[in-house]
Amino acid sequence: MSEEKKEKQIKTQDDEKAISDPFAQMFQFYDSFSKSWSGVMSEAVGSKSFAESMGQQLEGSLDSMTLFRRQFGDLMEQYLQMMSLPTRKEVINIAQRLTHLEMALDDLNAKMDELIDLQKPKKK
Amino acid sequence: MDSKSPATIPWDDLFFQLEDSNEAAETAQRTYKRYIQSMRAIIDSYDAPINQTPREEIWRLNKSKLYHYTPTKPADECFPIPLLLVYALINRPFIFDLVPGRSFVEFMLDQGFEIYLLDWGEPGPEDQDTTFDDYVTEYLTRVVRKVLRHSGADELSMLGYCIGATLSVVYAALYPEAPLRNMILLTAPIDFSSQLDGSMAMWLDEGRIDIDKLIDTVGNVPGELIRHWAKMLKPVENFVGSYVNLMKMVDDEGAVKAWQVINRWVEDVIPFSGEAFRQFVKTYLRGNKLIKGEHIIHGQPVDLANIKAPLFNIVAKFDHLVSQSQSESIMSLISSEDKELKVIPSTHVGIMISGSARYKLWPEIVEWLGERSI
Repeated sequence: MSEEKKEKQIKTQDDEKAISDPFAQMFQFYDSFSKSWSGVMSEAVGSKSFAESMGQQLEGSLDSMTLFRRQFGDLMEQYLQMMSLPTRKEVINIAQRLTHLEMALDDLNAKMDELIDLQKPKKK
Repeated sequence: MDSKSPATIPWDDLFFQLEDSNEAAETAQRTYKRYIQSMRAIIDSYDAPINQTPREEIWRLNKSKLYHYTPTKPADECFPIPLLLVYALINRPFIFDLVPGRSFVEFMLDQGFEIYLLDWGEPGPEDQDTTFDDYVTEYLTRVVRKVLRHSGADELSMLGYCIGATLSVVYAALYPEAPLRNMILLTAPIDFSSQLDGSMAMWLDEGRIDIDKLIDTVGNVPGELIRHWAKMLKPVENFVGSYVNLMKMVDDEGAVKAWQVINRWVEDVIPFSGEAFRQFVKTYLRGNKLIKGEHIIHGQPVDLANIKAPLFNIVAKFDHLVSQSQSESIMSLISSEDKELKVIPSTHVGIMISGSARYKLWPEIVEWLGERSI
């Protein structure tokens, strides 16, 4: 059988399979159009106008987030203080101090290791 | 017209055939099964087993952890210079150790390298003031000290991937006396003089996203936002193609497992410390101060000419996150006499996980590093 005929036969089989299998249709559809879609979409998201509009959208959501956080955050802080509980800021401060302590301990450990090494007899 | 175009698919015939054919029930059942299998594979991917190569945590500072992998070769057959893997601040570092048989760590261990991995961890609200420089001066310096202490070696080799490569370069440029024997860079974002269209660097350029407003509002940049940005650069491939590929290979258990681990890695994006992100965008990306030699840390210039260690700079030609030009120019700015630039036809992630990485690039890394680790 010639190559052309073989190809035709495979194509027909593929088409028949696609007819009876919705997934095969989807794959065929994706394979046929993904390259062109991909090019168009990548060009769109890579444009300066898209970058600017994305920045504007983000700014809009940041504005509403700021408003919500300011109002809710102030209320929460007042509530926590009233209940004699630490605020978020205070907990963060403690955690940051703990990290600094960890760093100091790590340096101390390293110094100790150096001292121990100095006491060891040197290899001949 | 393409024979596969929707116009040539006989839609009416399809429904006619389904109604009339005895195969209708079978087809429906097969389709339903494939759909369920695919959905299950996606859901299960979030718990896909990772980090399977035996390792031990030998150091911890705040969220950062240093792991030492159990050598698979006897000590006298191992190279005396250990290798430290430094990954980016965005995803998790298990891309180095995906699954047995597809793990860079496992491969390097089998070649006789002693491997250490730095996991930066997930920054919390208390870490939002950690700057990009802090990761070098406060963390990386201590990690290097610990690796040398643990291995008993006087020097180490460093492999930095993506932003991990930028951090490695800053470390080497800031500390000329650092005990650095060799340096390997994978897709290193360093030179931002040309902001290519379609790259994240272009989105983050001046006048587009207000970085100060973003950081002042959210503290740490949420992982979800970074993941969304990264996926948006290739929307068709990331939002559709990835799942179509899964459905195509859903009957192949091995392929599905590999897909699940990669999907877990892609989805598992961690927050970026706010101040580190602000500094990365303003100093590195917009200011390009690393290349200009204008970046100063604690009064010390970060001078790329201070880098004298042998350098293997590996760049992915089809990288849509870090363009070739961002990684290449460092070659002419460092003082290393032994330096090699390798451009491979791969992508940002493919450079580490593809079949060609496994069979071509990893052996080349072994050859380059092995010769210089004696």
